Amino acid sequence: MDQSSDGETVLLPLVAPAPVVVAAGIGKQFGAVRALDGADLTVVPGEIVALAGENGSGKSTLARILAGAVRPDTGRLTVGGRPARFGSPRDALRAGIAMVTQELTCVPAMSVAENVVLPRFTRPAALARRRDAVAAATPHLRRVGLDLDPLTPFSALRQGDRELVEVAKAIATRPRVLILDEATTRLPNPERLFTIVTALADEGVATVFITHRLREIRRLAHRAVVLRDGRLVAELGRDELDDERISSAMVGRSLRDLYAKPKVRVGRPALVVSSLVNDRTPAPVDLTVHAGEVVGLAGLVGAGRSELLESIAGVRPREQGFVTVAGTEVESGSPRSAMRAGIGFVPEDRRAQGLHLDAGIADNLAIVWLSTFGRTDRHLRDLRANRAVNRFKIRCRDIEAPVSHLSGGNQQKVLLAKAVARHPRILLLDEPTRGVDVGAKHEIYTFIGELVTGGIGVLIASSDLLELIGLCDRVLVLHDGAVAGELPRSRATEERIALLSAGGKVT
Amino acid sequence: MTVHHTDAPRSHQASDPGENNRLPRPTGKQLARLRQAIASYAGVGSVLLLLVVVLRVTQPYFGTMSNLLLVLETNAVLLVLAVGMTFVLLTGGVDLSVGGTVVLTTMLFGRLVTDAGLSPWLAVPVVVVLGTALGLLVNGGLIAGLGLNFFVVTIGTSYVFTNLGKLLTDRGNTISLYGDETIRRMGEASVFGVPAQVLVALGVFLVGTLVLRYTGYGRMIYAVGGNPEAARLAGINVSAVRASVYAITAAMSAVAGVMLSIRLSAASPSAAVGIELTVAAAVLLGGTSFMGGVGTMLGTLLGTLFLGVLDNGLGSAGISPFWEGVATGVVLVLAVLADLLRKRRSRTTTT
Repeated sequence: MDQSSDGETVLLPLVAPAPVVVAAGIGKQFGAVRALDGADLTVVPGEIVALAGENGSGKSTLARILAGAVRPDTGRLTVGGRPARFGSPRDALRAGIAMVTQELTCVPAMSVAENVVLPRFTRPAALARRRDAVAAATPHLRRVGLDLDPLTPFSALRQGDRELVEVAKAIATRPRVLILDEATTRLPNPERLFTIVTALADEGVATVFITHRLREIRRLAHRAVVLRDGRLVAELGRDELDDERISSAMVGRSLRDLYAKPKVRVGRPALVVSSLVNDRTPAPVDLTVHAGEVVGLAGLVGAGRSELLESIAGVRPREQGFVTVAGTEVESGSPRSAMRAGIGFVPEDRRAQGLHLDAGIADNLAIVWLSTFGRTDRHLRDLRANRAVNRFKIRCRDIEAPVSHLSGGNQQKVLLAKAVARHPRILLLDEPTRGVDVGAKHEIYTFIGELVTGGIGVLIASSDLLELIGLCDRVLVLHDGAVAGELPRSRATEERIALLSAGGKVT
Repeated sequence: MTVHHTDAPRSHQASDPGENNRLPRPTGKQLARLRQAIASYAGVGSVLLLLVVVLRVTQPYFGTMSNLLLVLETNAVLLVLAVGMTFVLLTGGVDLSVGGTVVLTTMLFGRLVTDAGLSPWLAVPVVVVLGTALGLLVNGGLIAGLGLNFFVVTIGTSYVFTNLGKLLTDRGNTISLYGDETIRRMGEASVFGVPAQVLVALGVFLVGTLVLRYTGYGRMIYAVGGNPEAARLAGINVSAVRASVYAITAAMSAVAGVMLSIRLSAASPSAAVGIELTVAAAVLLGGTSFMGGVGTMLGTLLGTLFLGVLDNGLGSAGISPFWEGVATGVVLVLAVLADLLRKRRSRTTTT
């Protein structure tokens, strides 16, 4: 606020209007994780505020608190000058705060129109006719640029259109404050959204948008607020929005320090994938990862990154193509065969796909050693677990405590330990640092560095472009299930990756 | 609108991102909607039709008006219960205490009419209100209020309700209501030859259809079943909706309990034991998803009719009732399988 009131009279009125939202000292704890540690945020009407921060910095949590989806442990919230205590999203909607969350929050079996007006179905006895839903939804669908039959079932839409429906749904509540949580990452053409947000700002609607794309901050924001480890660490006015300032505020050190990548001589091919086709990647994919090399997989959500990794790891059946690891062929749809050939895999959703949440670290790690007729050796199991805890600096009470009690970063380290337990030649990582704090992130990067120094090849899928750029020798960009381009380290920039991801050409 | 008719089917399967991704196209709108509506009833509808045709040809008695009314009358209780169960299944839950509630309310009704000497006209609302309260407070409270699993809770309350009902009997014996003049008259009542029980069941079905289709409450049920988190973020009180559907099944169970007592002119502790699985089968046959969020009342009606016609037809053909059970099970699994195959196919053509 202070920084922004002196300079840019062009965009903000001379006399700053009374803030529409003030959040002060917001704190929130999830289990062992401190998501927010006294965060502050002030938003005035008609203002476009970028909420920036690394994965796990607490920006989504703060947004969810503003939208009433999560209750804060500490701190005060004031909306329109009055103290607000949201018990549910319903209260926030009533106060005029609407949010587009990272997860899709539409009902797949309902029509587009009904989804858009869903927040109105709060009076049980009210009449709900299709015709009314269509009439109420149509102007909002037009506004976001969706020209389709409003009675189309939501489940029949493609990814980008689904996101637009989410936006229409938020706008239909006529909010005073619109919160967009990474909305642009799922849109093929974010310009449309920028236009809407700008128009809303002219009408006095404030927008808080969360992103980790720096160019979007530069393009759209009046002001940027940077969070790190649950606290507000910087507030940047319009003329301070340059990449270096934002990113160093986000990371808390220079980018070069965070992605400390050792120089490694690239060896022989460790993983060879030839003309792989699965149900989500219709165009044959060829790729090679050499020993000692880190290769990145970029692309929008739904571009087929995770599915490609799953097919290589034998989790998802291939329809065509071969996968070989150092000459050994990997069977399609057999995780066991992939493991034996020397593939280690860290899946995207660690809670659903990776870990047995109620089991301890020791049992989670022991799983990879189980054999049908083998004997279980408790001593060996504990020894391995303790070694992993030391090697990966896993912070835990003891090796038997359920892993659900660990923080995101520590859970991720357990998964890494599991993936490398049987000494793979190639490690596949899917979003390895999502929901992980900066400290643990640095440790994970350091560990990846150690692995490649030891001659392992690494293939990383990530939506964090800075991570890919900082870490990888090469970046492959997927678009709609096909490789849209390959960028060597020297040419990998945010702009080029984003362009290829969206289906554009890079010259 | 300059879109050509010939374009519609092509755009439906467009896999090229450059192609028009808005499906279905405006001109093909009605057609597509119709196709979709037919597809969702195709499974049980076609089997029901086939069954009716076969029975019509092989069983001379089947097509008579009196037999059709008999089918409806014997399945009126099932339809009432299935309407209630549709609400629960749509939210993604299930109520396995339906049979238990029927037993308890039947016995309660019997006791009120015989021992307490209450007029049946007064006993009916008392039993329905008590039954509804039981469903709301016990099942609804435990499941929606405390967040316990619906399977565990309703299996538990099924035992409790059934045996509380049996405690109301005289050492497990049926209470005869035949001596009560009003009840006999209620049992024989009809309008233009249509038994009152059939009218009650169709009335319940109609109200259920209207509520699901045309009220905010109906939309909330689909929203909660389709995606509870989305419903919550849209400001819907998810636990209140969840609690309410268990009140609805309990209310329907109480109505069914009363109907059963009147039809049999007796309160029997064993008449409805295990009926919850038949009820769930009828609703699932009608295309309602076990995962919630998908399904219609019309489907439930078709599913109930299928079971009723099967029972009637095989019975009059002199085929063992055990074969009927086998057929029900096979058709149920086939219906779910057909649904799965249809979804798989549509997924590969639209994404």
